[in-house]
Amino acid sequence: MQNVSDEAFLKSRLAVRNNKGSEATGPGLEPEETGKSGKRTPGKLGEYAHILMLVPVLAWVFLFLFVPLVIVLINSFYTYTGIGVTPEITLSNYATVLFTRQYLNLIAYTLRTSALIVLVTLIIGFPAAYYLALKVRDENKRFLLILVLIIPFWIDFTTKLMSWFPILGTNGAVNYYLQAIGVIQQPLTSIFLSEQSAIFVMIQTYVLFMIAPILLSLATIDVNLTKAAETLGASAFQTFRHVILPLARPGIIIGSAFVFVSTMGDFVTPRVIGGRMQTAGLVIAQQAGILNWPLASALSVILIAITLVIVIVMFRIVKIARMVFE
Amino acid sequence: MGEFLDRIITAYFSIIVLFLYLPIISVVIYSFNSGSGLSFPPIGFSTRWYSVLFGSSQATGALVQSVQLGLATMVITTILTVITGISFRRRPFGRSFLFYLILLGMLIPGLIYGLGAAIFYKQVLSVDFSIWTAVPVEVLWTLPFGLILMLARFDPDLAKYENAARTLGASETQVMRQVTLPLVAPHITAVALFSFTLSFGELIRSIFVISSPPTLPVYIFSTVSNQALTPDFYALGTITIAISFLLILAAGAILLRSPSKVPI
Repeated sequence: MQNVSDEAFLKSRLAVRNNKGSEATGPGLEPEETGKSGKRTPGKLGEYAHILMLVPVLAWVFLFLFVPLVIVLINSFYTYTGIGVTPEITLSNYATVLFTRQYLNLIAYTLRTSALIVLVTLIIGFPAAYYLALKVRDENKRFLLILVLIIPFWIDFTTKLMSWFPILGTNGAVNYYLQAIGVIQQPLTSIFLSEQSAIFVMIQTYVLFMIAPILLSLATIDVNLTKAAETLGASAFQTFRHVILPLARPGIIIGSAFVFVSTMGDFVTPRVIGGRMQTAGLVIAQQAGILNWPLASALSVILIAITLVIVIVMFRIVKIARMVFE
Repeated sequence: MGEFLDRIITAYFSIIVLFLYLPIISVVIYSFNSGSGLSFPPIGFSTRWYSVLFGSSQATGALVQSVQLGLATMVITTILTVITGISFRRRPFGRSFLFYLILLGMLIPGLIYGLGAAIFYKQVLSVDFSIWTAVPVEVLWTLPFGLILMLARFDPDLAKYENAARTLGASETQVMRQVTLPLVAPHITAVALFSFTLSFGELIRSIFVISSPPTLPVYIFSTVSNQALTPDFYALGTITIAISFLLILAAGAILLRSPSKVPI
């Protein structure tokens, strides 16, 4: 028994060392765990147990993600009769979305708004991630600060939305202070329930989606690396440009994709804070509300297509799985 | 020069934290405001909105609905995460592909698979909406978070400890009970707490597949959309903030005290 374990242990140690050399084998789990030794997985069934264990999650994703998406695709070709949906195949939903000025403007506006939010969250989020990753040396302190930072993310979304009424509302804090310092005489009614306030609130809501992935990639930076750059005579800017930025790139890309997708799908903030603001997400929700599933579906398919292109481009640039498994 | 920059960036970080906490501060303050409007500045201290809140059966009903939905999502997410995590340790074929597939729950706008699920239930399954019809879409949303947290623990170190125990002559049961479980348990608890909190406050996916009585976010959303917001909603918000705060702090404390920490 003792010998067998020792042998397995040595084998696994060797495997670890070999793994380190080749990135292709990827995640550093010991091959001993593949169950080939048979020690931990007695019998034929044991050999395949870990494959069987994937069945529940596969079934779940298939049934509740894949199937609904296919149903959305099918419905995008159905006909809306004004009171319901009939399975008569038509391209008119796509014609509406792709060939009417109103919908094209809507999609362009949604993409522009999301891109703007991505840009702003990147600019204000990056320094925060940089601070946590490179300026906080004490691990416990960093963990605590990360916890402090992510707590608002877990707070109920609608609760956060109603918080803006006393801040941005006509009788809210912003108007109060603007009047107090004499910038305006009458409270501005246009601050709240406007496109600007909805964009502001979305930036506030999603900046964390940007900070977290950037933090993850910056956290892998060895502090000695920046010191080495300094020793070799690099200026602060050069260190940033040639050492930190390339290492932060995966985080920046993933964060941007997260923020982009989240803002594009967020119909609630424009609905509650945006006044007359119309986004593609909001129109999908409205059409779904009047049971015009075909049009909502066609618009969804277009949005998904755009999202997929973005996600595929993102995956080509960085390998998320590698980040997580290593 | 460097020190000056350090101070600026530290101050900047504090401002970002304040920025992130602004909504929370606002809700808590207005829940204790004695005035009946939402105008700034608040008038005085009072707990009357809490009495109003507890007198409202709609609000308490919504709270109960959300807790039930959160618990159901939590149980399923935790089970799926643990089984999948264990399986991933053995490097099944197509592991990365499956991981991306699960990640889609995070990457596809929730509104779209919410819509898809709604049509699926009505057109194909002909089931009526309840909070239980929301569980499937909630799990799709919580699963990626759970799995990432779980995989952070099923790392090479874990296998090293297990092998060390085996080398020292521990039996498989002993390894399981004395090494694997104690190391993995904090993460399983954290996955449970995180997934409960996530689904407790989730709106964008669930709103398509929930009917009355609504969950808390759906209830608040319909009130806010109808411009019928009153201060007792801020009392309700404060309670949900307190619940989420406690759960996340608990999860954080558990992870912090776990034998080997992960940087989230």
